[in-house]
Amino acid sequence: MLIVANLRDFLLRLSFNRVWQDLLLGLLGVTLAFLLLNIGLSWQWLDQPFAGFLHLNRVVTESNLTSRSTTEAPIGQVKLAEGDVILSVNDQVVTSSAQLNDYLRQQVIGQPMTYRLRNPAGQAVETKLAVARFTSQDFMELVIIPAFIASLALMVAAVAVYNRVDLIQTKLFVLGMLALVYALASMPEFTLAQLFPLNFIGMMAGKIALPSLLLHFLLVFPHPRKIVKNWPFLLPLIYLPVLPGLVFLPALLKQPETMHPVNNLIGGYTLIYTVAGAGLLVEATLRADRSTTRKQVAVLLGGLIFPTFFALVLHFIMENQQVNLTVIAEILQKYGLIGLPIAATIAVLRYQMFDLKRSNRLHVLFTGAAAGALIAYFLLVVLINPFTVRLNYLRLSDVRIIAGTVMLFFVLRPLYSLIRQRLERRLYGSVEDFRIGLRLFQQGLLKAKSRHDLEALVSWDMPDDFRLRSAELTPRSRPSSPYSLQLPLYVNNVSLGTLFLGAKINGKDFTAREKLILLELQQQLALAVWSLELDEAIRTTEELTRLKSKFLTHVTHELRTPLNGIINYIGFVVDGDTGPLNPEQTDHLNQALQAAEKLLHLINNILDLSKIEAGQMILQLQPVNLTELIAETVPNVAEVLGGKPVQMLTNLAPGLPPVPADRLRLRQIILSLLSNAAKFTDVGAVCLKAYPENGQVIIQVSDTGRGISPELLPAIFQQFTGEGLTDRDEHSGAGLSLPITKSLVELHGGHIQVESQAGQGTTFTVTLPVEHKT
Amino acid sequence: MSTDKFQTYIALVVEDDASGLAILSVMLRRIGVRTVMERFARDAVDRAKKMTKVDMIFLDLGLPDGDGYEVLAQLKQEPNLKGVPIIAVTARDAGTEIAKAQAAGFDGFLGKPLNRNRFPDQIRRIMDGEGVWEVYN
Repeated sequence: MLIVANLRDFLLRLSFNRVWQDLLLGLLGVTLAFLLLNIGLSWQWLDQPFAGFLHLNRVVTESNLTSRSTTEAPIGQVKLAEGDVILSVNDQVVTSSAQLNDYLRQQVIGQPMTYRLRNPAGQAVETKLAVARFTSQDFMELVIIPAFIASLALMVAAVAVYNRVDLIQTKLFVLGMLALVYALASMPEFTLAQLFPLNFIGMMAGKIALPSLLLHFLLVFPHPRKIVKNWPFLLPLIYLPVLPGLVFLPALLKQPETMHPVNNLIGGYTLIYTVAGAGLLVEATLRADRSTTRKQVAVLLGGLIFPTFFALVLHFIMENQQVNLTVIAEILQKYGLIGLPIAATIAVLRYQMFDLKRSNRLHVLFTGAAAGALIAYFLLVVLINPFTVRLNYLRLSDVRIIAGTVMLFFVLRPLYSLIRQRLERRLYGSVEDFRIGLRLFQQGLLKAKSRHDLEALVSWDMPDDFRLRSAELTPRSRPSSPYSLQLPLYVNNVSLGTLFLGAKINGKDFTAREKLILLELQQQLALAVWSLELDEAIRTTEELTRLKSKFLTHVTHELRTPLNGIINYIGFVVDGDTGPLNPEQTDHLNQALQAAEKLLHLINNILDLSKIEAGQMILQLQPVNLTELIAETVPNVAEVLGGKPVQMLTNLAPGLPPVPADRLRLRQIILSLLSNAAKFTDVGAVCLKAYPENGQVIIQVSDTGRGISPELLPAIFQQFTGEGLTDRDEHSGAGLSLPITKSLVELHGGHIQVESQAGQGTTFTVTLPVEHKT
Repeated sequence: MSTDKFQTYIALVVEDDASGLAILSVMLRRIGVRTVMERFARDAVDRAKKMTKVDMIFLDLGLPDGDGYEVLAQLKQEPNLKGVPIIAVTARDAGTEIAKAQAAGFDGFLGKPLNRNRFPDQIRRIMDGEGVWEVYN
């Protein structure tokens, strides 16, 4: 199933629409390159006296015949030797070089002509010679390699212009096939058997088919984005197959014909990686941003270290060499080339992030053709010519073949479209359903934990899910974007970034239905970004609250220490430890003492509040004997009452059950309510009742004080907004006590209620569960 | 409440803050308890071991050269000090520290500021073997 799915994916990505266009483009580029090449070579021989004939693929000039010994392969039974002179061609006497040249031009490929030769010994020999201009071997040297190199150059140029990876894969594939077709079509003595000369197959497979397929499979087939995303360190390993080829590379470059086909195959494979890699590396270096460059360097290093190590091993095994530093240095130098294709792969992967709109194909064509021709010409002259052939004039038949091939593609076009349509309907019909893509993407959307996750999701998963070339989510919009669709993300008029979408993988425009789905996605994505940003803001706030609480915990410690001194030293003096005081002194010191106590209370309240806000108010629950706790707490009220004519009454039901509570906090609750009542009651009584009811314990504090007006009642438990800050602020701890009390009661699993009538008093009722729910 | 037997008590106060130390010793002196003072954790244990009589130990939780809990653990290992109440004295947040002090094996907790009015009763209850875990109000 996996294989089927991958195959389908492979086919989907091999965009047929683009293949056709690239095919044509590549064909024209190669044609142009080949013509330029021939013109260039012909130019080389212009104005030179020409005499000679084509012997197999070798040009034998007059001077060759007279001055130089030939060790050429036999033609028929005749072996040309030094001093051989051509007397006649097809019984027409040759009297000059120009004449011979004319005869040769008339020769039709594959039709033998009768040559009469006179050898140095003076013997005349007559033989029939067929001009076999292109053997498979010659073709490899004169057409395939230049064409292939030209294609590569074209491809690199195209990528540079398009900034898109797909061209590499399709072009490699298509141009390889093109070169094969062209090669076969051009072979005069073409037979089926010639499809299978080992060298030819080896070179073709090694230099074109295998690398292009491998590139395609490595980059596209197994979801490379995911591979790179999940295991970037594995990337260098894809270069391991290059290694054997590198061992043979030098030999291959010098003497391609002498290599074993398998070696050719591997060597060719290496060659393409190196050539393509070099071009792409330059391109990538020019374009890469800093983070990419860092990644490239990392992978580059990995790519140098791993394969070099294996190459060393391989080399020693195959060449049976001794290990010494010189050899290692040589190999390092030689295999350092591996880094190039690795960087190229990174660059290629980077292209998947981009999706430049197709523009100016003509520009690509000319750039590619010119670059291809130049490179091919250079390589042919520099690398191949010295070892093989001098091809010396532009052949009309070449033009015919090229033109014919072009025509053939035009003829094949309708057929091609038909196949393409059929396949697309089959493959894209179900897979490229945007609704499926939306569903898949939504699943990822739910898992995103941060904006960064979301951005990664968009770049890595969205292209796959929606069969797009690329997608990107950026914080800002870009005025000149290379993408085909820009969808700004907004929530409540707040810009959250822009979603960029590349073209569809099949090259078609978005349909109206797909656009609707994309708009839906745009909204969902905006909401996702929004909610994640809110989450982040909340987390930041929570963290700040926690830090505030931590800070306050520390600060309050520092504040309580001096307060210990202030309160107690004043206390010692008030108590008369230092001698008797007059009433005024006592009064003043008591005022100071009260102020210090108020300050202490405030500090404690602020800390409590910040802990409650940060969710760090942790209760130490234990069974608390309420009767004892109240008995302990009530005496404190007398201090607050300070001699006002107010009675403190307690009414505790017998047999109060123990309450699961934090003793300190429960005391704080009761004390806070009692102090509150005592403060606002000038005459009458403060009454504390406690009784069990329905598995709960009710603690009620009522007073006969001034009461709270109904409009202020709901706000009484709110921080800083309660009545405490209006007419009570001179008494209360800045209105913090009641909100804290409420929170503490609720942390105990209980609740607090207040009833009041202005002028008649207030009743606070706290209900606490006896069985604490955990 | 009877404070008569306070006259026979000797307390060890381990506290680095000078004013804290002075206040505690004043309060103890007011009820007749004699005090021996130490300002460093490292000296506290030695001092406690050397004292021929010690009835209560007040231990500040945040000493400059050691945590009060470590000192407590060392004191607890001394067989001579078995049954001697050890009381934590600190300005740290009582809400969290009381539970820690209880778990660590302190016999009482007095939060700073100390309450001079309640102090005699707090000492009495501590010496009666009741746990006292209180803050100022």
